[in-house]
Amino acid sequence: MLLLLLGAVSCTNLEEEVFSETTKSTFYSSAEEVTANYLKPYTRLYVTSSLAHWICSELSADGAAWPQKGRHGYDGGKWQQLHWHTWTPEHHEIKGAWNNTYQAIGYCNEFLNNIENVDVSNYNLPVPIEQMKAEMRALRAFHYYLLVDNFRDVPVVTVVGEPTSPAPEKAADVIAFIEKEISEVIEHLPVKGESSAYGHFTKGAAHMLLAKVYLNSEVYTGTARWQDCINELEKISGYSTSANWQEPFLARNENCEENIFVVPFEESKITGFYHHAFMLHYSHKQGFDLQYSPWNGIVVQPQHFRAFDPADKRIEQFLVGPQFDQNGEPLLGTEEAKDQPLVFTVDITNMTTSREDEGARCVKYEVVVGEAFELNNDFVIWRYTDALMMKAEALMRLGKTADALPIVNKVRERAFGNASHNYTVESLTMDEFIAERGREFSLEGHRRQDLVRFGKFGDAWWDKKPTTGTEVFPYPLTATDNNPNLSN
Amino acid sequence: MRLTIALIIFFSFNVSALTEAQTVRVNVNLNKASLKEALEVIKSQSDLNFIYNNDLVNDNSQVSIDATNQDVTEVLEIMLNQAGLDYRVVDKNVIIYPVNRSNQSQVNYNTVQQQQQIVVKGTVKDNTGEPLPGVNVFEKANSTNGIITSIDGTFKIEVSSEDAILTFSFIGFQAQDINVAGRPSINVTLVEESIGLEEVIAVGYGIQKKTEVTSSIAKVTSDNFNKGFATNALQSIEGKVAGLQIVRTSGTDPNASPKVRLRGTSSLNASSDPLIIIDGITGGDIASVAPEDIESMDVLRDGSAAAIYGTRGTNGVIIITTKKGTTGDLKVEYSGYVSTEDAVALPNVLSADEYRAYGNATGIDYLDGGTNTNWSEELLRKNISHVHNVAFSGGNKNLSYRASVNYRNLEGIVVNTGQEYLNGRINLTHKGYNDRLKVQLNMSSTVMDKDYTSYSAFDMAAILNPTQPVRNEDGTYWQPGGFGEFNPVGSLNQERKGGKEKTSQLSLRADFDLLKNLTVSGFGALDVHDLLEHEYDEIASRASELGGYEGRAKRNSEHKYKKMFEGTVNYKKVINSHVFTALGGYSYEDRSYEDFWAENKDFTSDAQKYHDLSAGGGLANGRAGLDSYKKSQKLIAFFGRMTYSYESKYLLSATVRREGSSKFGDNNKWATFPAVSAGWRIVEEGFLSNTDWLNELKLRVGYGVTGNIADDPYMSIARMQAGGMYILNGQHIKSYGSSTNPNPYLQWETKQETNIGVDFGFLKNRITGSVDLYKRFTNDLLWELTAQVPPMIHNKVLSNIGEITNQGVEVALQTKIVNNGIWNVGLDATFSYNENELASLSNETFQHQGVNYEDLPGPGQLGSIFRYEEGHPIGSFYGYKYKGLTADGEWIFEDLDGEEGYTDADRQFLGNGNPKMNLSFSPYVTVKGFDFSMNFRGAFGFDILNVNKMYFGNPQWYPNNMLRSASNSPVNADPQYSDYYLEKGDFLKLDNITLGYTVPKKVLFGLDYARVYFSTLNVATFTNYSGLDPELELGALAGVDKRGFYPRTTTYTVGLNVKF
Repeated sequence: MLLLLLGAVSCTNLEEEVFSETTKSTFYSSAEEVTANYLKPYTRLYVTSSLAHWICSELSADGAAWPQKGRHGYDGGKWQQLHWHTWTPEHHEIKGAWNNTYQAIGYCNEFLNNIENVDVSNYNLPVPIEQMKAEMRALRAFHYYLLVDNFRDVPVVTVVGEPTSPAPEKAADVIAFIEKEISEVIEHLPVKGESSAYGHFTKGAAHMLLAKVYLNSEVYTGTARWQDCINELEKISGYSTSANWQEPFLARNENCEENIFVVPFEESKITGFYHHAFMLHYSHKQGFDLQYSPWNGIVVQPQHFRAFDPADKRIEQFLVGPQFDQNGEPLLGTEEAKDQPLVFTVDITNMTTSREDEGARCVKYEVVVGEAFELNNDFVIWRYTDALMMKAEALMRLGKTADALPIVNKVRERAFGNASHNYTVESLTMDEFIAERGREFSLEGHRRQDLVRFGKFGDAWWDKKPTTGTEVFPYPLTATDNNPNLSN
Repeated sequence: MRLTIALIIFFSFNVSALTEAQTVRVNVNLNKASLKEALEVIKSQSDLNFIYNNDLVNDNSQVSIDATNQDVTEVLEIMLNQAGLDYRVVDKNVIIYPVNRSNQSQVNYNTVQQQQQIVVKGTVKDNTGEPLPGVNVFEKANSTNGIITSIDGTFKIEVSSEDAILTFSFIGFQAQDINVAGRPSINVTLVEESIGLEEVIAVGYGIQKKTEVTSSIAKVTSDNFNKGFATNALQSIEGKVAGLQIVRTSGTDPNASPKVRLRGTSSLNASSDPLIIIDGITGGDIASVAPEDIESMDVLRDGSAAAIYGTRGTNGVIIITTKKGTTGDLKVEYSGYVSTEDAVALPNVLSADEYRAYGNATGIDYLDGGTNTNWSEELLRKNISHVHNVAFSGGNKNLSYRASVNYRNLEGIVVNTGQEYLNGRINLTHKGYNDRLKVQLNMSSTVMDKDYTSYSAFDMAAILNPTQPVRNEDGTYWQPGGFGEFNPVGSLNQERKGGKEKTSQLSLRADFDLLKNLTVSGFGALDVHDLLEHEYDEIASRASELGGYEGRAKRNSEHKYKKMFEGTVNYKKVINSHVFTALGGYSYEDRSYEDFWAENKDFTSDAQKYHDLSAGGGLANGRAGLDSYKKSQKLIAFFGRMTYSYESKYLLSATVRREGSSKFGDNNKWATFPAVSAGWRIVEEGFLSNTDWLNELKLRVGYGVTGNIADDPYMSIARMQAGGMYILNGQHIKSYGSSTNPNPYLQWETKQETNIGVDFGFLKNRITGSVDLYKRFTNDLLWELTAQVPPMIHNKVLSNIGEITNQGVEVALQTKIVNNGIWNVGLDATFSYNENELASLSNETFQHQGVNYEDLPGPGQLGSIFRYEEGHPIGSFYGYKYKGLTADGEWIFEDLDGEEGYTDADRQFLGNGNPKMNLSFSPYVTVKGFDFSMNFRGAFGFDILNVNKMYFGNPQWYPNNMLRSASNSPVNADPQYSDYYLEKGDFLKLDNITLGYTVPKKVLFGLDYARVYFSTLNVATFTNYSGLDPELELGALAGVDKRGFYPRTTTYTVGLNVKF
């Protein structure tokens, strides 16, 4: 009985004990812990930009596609749906674009919410706390821009877990939120060249973000803001165009002057970039002496490949024809062309019944021989050539094609190495401009937004029929299922 | 035979044996009651059993007594004196004799004139050769002519003719008729009757007589275990308990545990495995106990039985009791067997010649490697497994022990798989302080050395080109070129995995009779589990090639530690025919889990394998890895039980457990789990007193609430976890962020279950059994809910939502068709039927239309297999409905949405993989030392998704190898998931045939017992299913015949049991 009573008194404590993690309530106790949490949202950037947004932007557009090749690549029909614009709210990649982006926002909120209750005055932080907060708010604003681009009206939350069942706000209101946030924090953001700027959200990126928002403002809100776009772009300084098209995409592109905002991938440290695995054939394991077998998924649509003049140096980013290993021996197929030499054709049967050897492949990002699973190259979210072309477009929209012409021709000259393919005021039509954007930014994750802005997203191309009303992705079913304030 | 051993002790320790009964006090107040009735009253107030001859104790002899809180021996003396009887007490058995106990006791009940004076003498013994006193011997034609055997088992009787038939009858033994046939002397061996009536059942924190149990509990004792080869102790009761499904989902993999489901699936996310309790240690690892050391397994099926285990009771409780020592001389028992296996059901793919012929006939290019290889056969070997168990037991009245050693060398039929197992166990019981204190010490330690395998080897073996060789001419393994393909023989030889596991249990239990009727008990236990695993991919292995490294070594160690303490108080109060018992207790459990692993790559030599991780160059290149982990959890409970019985006729039991767990949210740490059950032994009612054919009839009704608990201990709190690195000021720094969405409201799943049951026994208990009807509602299902994103960070949050119902019926039947001392023929059977439904998948915030889950394997990503949806059972297949094929062999599916192409909206419910009905039956025959038994087991009313056929049964699969059936398949399109690949899974298996011979004692040269047997396991499967084996996974992932597997085998075993 005594034993029982003792037990009753001393042994009713059910507090959890954690060991290999730590609880929120005890975190933020040092400069290192604060810094670690401030870096967390950045670690999600590769998913939101180089994966989720990139896949939805490119595979729904006229450049890239992931056709079914024999028994491979059906993948529940999700690639075909993206190409045909027949997606449903259950689409896996659309769900990814929603969830991953809001997760990144959630981590920004987590830092911003929690740091409010922490006295950091005695911490020796590697960057000022104002800069940390500014970057978090700007990065959050960037992700709201991605959401507006994909879904238009979306809920805006700034507190983790609150409110329950948030209702969507009008795209114009979300954009107002983005503008307010950037205007409040921009002075604390790092500037290119500062040691803390690399891989972080800089002033340059903030201007680029607003410029992107204004460029698409007509689509997003119905109100065009071309001049705002130009004004914002003109505030971008410290960047310049590279000598050739490939420099921004080389394996060691950290110091490229052209890149404004990148995901700073670094082998075995910051990982998750494997565009080459999407595109290369299984046998390219031998071809590039890779340490893994690629997936033979994404190919270049025939008309997109043919849109390049053979003299255009940018066509070098594509692999066509017979493929060889490092010793010059032909690579062999493993499926329909099993044990026969692997020869990539430009033409592709269609989205449902293609072969393993159909379609050009894109190696815009340099693939280093002997590469590990992930690429070392930094993924380019925004680069200076884009800023130039955006300004040119805004000028053209304002009827100032003559002002735009030298900007576009500068890009053109770099591609051809000379002025022989330059445009004139007459030849630089809006159609020609969007086509040139397609060539310059081929498979860089902008194409869907560009086609929507030019009203061409519903057009027919390759295996896609004309469509209407697919410019905005539906809210994913998982989001509408449990949020009564959200419905398609 | 326990009784006879006990009798011998009784005669040598006459006085001390009596003290056992003297400690019991009873209240009896009867006026002119029958002696039989009087004994029942005493029985209901004590643990005593009465052994008597029906002719001595019957309704004719009337007794009257008024005793309040009187010593039972005094009460018995008074009562039996009135009937002219005397008694002796041995252990808990009271043997009743006539007063006249002269050496040759001869009582003629009736003074019948003896017409003929034929005298027959002899001795009556039990089947172990011990003499039986008190046996009733009478002439069948004239039952008034009878006597009782004396203390040494001898008798002498005068019979009417040389052909007279003598009947020998004794409580607890089967009656026997023997023709005198002119013999002057007859020696008779009586066979013990396992009537089960006085069987004791383990209930939570105690035992009860089977007659007094009011909830649904099935007991299987070692006598009834499945005989022969077993990789796991749970196989011993496969098919023995109605409603308990035990399925070997991993074939005959010596390192795999079977899947266990009781009364259907009642959870989505939390465990559906029953709570296993081994000698009081909860959550015990079944591998830590050798099947040969188990005395009994009690399965607590319904809520009223399991509620005393609170948050862990929902999936039922299996209480395993190991064998304990018995008093007496040192006894040694050996049991062992040798087994070999044959693989059954390998994918029926094209042979090399058929493969060539198909390619040539169809004109499809294929590569001819010039050899004939049967890839599946290359993975198999002729194996021999052997198992040995030696047990020593003995003791005296105060101290008894059993010590055993179990060695198992299980060689898998797949190359490089197996397990070596060594277990030692000591169970010790010591009584002292005039038997007021009883101390039990149990110790068990197990060492296992395991060689794991990869189930994908058989997936690969099915599809590889059979004209290619296993090895190239230079001796290296041939490797295929396709994506993800590998040589499975090379893989099993060059990519080895295994582990060494140690488990130890130590428990100490003390029961002290603090007061008369009041016992205080303490139980403390430690359970330690250590595992050290290894992996090594050789430099030349395919894994190294594909992974781009030069050899890879990994070590993983885990340490599980559990300590528990339980204190209980038992109280018993008897007021006349009213018996009350009460139990109160406290339970504390603290368990932790730790894990550490390290991996390195790029080795110069294969020589050290995984024994020197630092020899690899991967650490310097950033290609090594390591991690460690720890978690812990606590469970605290207060519990109690009250029982009441009136004349052993009306029975009532109520339990309650108040339990808290560290796993749950701050707002929901504690819960209460009540249960109540009642029984009515109709057979004891007066109106049935003349029905000799009816021996037992009890009606039981029970209701109980149980819980189920989340696996992860930290899902309720906000945690910060290290994540990926990011760059700042040119440095790469580890990030930290929240790891899950916390749920401070997280609580247990709650199951409410009602059970109605009947226990019956007819015709001298030659037919016994039970029928149970149940209905269980599981609410607040633990489920990884899709979280609201935004505002939450993570996609999932572990929450409580929805409801599952299971209802069904269970029938268990034991029959003894012939039982005459020579022939013993019978049939045991179980049947169960279960209906499952996901009744709700919503709460106030979350309304789910349905959720698809479990994706089909590549290539092609053909979508998910199953869907949860309200109104449908768990494990429902969901896909396209097959409508035919076009002339070109393209798929035609039912188009539900009318839109072009087949979309998610065209998917529909196609079937279910969980059997609705399970049946098992075991006929047996024993005669003259031979025993023969068979086990049949079947499952009915379910569908199987034939995944092998879906992928390999399609001609598009060529030039990969394919099933023979593919060559004339009408399908000419890539695989799609539809009910074209669903088949009826109904099957009946002849699971076990055993033929044994027990050597007669006279040729045993001093041995007590010897039996040899031959047994085969998984003998035959009767089914229309065209795939491998229809016995598959249960629950949410039920009925998928996967591509990767470990083969089912037929096992042939020769075994020997010896006692001396």
